[in-house]
Amino acid sequence: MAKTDSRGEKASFLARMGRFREINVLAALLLLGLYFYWRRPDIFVKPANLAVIMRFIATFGMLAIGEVLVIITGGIDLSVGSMLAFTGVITAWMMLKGVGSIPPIGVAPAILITLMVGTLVGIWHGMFVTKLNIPPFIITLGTYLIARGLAANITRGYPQVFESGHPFLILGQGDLARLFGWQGGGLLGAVPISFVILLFIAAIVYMILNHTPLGYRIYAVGGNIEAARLSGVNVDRVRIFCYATSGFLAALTGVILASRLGQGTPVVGSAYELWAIAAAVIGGTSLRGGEGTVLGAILGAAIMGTMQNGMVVLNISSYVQDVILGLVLVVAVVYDTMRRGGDFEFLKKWFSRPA
Amino acid sequence: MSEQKWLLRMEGISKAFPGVQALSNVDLELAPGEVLALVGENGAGKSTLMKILSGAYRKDAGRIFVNGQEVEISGPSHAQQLGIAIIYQEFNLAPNLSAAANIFIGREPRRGPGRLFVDRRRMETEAQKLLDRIGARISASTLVRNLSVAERQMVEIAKALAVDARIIIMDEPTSALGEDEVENLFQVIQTLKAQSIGVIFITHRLEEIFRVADRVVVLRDGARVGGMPIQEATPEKIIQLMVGRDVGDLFQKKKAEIGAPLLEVRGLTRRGVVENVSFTLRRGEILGFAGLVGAGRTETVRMIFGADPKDAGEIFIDGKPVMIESPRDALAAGIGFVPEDRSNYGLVLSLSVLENIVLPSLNRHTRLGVLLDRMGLLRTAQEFVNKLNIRVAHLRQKAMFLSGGNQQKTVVAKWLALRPRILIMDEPTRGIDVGAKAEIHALMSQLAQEGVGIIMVSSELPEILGMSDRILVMSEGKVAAILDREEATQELIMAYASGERPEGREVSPASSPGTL
Repeated sequence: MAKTDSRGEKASFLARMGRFREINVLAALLLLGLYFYWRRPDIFVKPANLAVIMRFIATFGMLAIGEVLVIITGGIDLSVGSMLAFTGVITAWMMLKGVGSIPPIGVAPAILITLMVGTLVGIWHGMFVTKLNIPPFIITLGTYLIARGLAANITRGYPQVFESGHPFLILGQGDLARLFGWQGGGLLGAVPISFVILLFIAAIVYMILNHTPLGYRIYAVGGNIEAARLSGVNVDRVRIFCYATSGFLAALTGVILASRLGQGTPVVGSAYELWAIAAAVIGGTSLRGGEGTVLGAILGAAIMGTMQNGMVVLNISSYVQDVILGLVLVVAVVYDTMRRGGDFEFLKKWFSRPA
Repeated sequence: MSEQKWLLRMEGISKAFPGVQALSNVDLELAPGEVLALVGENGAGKSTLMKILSGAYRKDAGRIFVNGQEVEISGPSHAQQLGIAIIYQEFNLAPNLSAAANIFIGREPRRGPGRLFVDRRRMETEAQKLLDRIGARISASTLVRNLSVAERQMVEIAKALAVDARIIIMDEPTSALGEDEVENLFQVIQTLKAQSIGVIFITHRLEEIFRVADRVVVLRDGARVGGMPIQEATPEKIIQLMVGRDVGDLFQKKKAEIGAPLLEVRGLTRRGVVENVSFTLRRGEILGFAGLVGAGRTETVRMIFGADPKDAGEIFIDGKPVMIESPRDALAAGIGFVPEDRSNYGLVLSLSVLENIVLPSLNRHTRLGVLLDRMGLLRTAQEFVNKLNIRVAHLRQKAMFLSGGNQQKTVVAKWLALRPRILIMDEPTRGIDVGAKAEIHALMSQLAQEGVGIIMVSSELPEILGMSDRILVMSEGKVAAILDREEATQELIMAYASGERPEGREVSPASSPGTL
């Protein structure tokens, strides 16, 4: 009975609920794509249009990966939208104006420092959550206000604008064709650099979650923090790591967005944290903690990006777009809850107060 | 007997869950003013039967009569209307509300135009009357948060009376109570009897049955195996019915060679909870921790494991002092800990058996220092699943879908995978079936033979007597005695546990702790 042959292993892999759910999300994504392709074959699959979708996925996928990590541990990070503005502004500021008497610095050091700032803010969140037991909602809500306030304060409300041709702009605006100097690179050439960065980040986080002790511990902390602690897991460090990663990814996305827009502006990224959370949830992450995957985060972002773009292509009014996206979120969560509800009934029957 | 005589009669009740026949053809009857003790091992079907009566479950077959009328209980509120109230081990009270508000929750007396407002004064007067009626010395306006466990239980009983309950079910009401509080509860039960209320009393403590019950009904494996007036009952008779075999076969203690001192604890203290606990554990020894609930046994072992902070105390392993500030330190020192509540502290239910087993030993299964060796994880998990005979469909099965016994074995497996030198087991066999229990006992014997030192906290005296080489009895946070296997008896342990000093034993071994 306890034997696990290769076949049993395979079946059990299929039995993993996360897999099932991702297949659902993937199927929904393909159906959406086919629908928009059927409606507007002339526009929807053009490389230029697909690049727009990929840029969307890059932004929200990256943020959603950070959210997934935090949400698995039972937390939430509301700061990322404001962090986009803050990190975008400071990176532009360091490159263009310099800080006080320090002259402007190069692109690479500025990006590096910005990423460090983002990570430190994440660690700050993690310290409050773990050492002072402050609810994650509250401490990241504080940063939500502070970061955007600081961004506006630094710029006095005016964006820091890059001249066109500034080398920094390749990061957010470039694609593979431009990077490698391909002539008419077709679909592959149209892949934005930011999307490649997303895939790279996703691969790393995937490896962490599925192939390192840290990853197992993240799920264990999310599933039952006390049991994890009693198993010798350093639960504080695990949680701080997740907040730090979310901060790092917010900073990285902030840098990319500043490059894409050609400016560091305090108004960017408003409500992006909610979109990122929505993407994570559509991708099967449970806000109760313990469940969520990188693939789910990216597929969730892809669904939202495809829907949003497809509705633009179909000329649907932007007001209606929001209504539809909201409904998609609700349907996804209801579906997920019903699925879990079934589990719960099953559990109740089996395990509550064994006679 | 005529229908009129019985307050409640259940006839031929059956209930199946997927894969388990929880109840088959069970009869139960209760007279007005009668206290019926319902006993049986965990998994015998007591709670299922009571849940059917209180409307939480629907029966598959059988008939229920209340006051001679056949009823089809459709849900908890219907049961309430029929005058059936159940008082669970964990109370259903809102801690932020007053006792009165809890007693009248959902049925608050109203006043004012359109009966719009809660009549708080009347609510508190009425609630106070109910509390006084059962002799509870609680002010109805006190917030439940500020009440003790025993007082909360009184509020639950008052709540049952407030809806005119004629049948009150108490599910292990004494498990969290101190001796005085138990006494108090029994007096309340006498008051209820005098008011012709029928009480169904579920308990694991045999001596309580003889103190409070008029009649006892025994369930085993979902069937009624016996019932008798209390005058005809003896503890041996009841145990034999519950277990269905001789108690002697239960404990598979094998002789292990007891070696050098392994773990030495000196002066372990947490103010108000544990005071100056000292003892020595040797290689190959099983040291039983006996005592009443609340005596500080769990707190002591949690401190040793670093799960809770200590105010004072030293720990030595192999004669060398070790600093244990967290479970991680304990792991590093070779200590494993099977906590008392496996679903809250022992397992991550949402993770697979595989992941649970390897959680403490992840660092031993890495390549290049970071990446997990998945084949190694599988091998380890499989090894211990086989060794402990954990019945799983596959290693990726989530821990929540295992039975209690297999869950407990999984908790044990995750520590064995670390190959600990010292294993602390808090209530290692609570709530698991007899078969799994025997397997865990056999495993403990085997570990002891391999030289592992085991601390076993248990509230079951037969288990303590059956498995321990020595028995440390705690009472009110202190070591009351350390007894050898040969000299220990149920009576002696109980005497020390309840704070008495038995006759003829002037010098308690606790006065020379840490020595044999």
